[in-house]
Amino acid sequence: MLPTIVRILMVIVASASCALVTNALRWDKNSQNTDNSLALITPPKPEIPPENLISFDQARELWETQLGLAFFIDARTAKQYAEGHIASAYSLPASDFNNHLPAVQQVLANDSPIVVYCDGEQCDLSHQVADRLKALGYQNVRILINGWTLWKSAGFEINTGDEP
Amino acid sequence: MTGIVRFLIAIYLGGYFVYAGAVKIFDPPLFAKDIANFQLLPHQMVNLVAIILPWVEWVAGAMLMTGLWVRANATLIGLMLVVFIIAVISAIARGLNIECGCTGGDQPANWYKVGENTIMLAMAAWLMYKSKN
Repeated sequence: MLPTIVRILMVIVASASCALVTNALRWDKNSQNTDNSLALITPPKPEIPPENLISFDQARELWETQLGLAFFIDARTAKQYAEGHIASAYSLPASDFNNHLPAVQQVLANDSPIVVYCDGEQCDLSHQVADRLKALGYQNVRILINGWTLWKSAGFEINTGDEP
Repeated sequence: MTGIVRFLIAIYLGGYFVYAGAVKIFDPPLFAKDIANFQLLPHQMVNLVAIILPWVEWVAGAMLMTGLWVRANATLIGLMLVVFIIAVISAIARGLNIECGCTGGDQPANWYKVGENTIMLAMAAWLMYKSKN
């Protein structure tokens, strides 16, 4: 009879082995994304210049007063977008940027105020999308940190489905 | 009678962990994000935990359901629940408004979750106490 503690350790080791093998296989298939098989999330930028950020209140004001001229961009996956997003926000997932870009480019002007958001304080997707938009020449791009959670918990307008 | 209750609790608790584990196994990046939102672990640890923890949940849950090493797996599940309870309480204490990431879905980290986990912890403790192996 094995002592309980040994059994617990065996279960943990077996599970961890399954996990690491699965993870290695998963990233083999998507190796273009990263060369680090443990890289699920990227560390946050050490310092984000404040002019690249927009506060929740400012973002709300922009949404209320300038929607149509200003645009909200959801940087999360298409699936998360379909499950719920800020009303009128366009989907531009960091993971599938190029496929979604043409549709978004049709509505954006180079100087449009653009607010990019994802979910969670540590979420890096909005930073990735904002950087790529800026590289494409959009000058007025700002990030709303933790945007989805803040917006949803404030009870503001949200939509579901694939359309803004 | 005790045997039936023990069986039902093992099925329920094991089933919950099998489900919770499976959901997260299919979407590690989402779970990694949920863990990161708790702001308890350094970044390098977040990914490792997001990859391994769901599998431990799944395996321990599946073994509990099938009656294998009940005591060891009930203990392991109990230990995980203690960690989850502490994490959620600390999130509440710090005023974080986040998803708990418990089952991958849309559940906030709140007192309801603490209560749910505490009930499951009691189930796990009871199984540990009642099981010979």
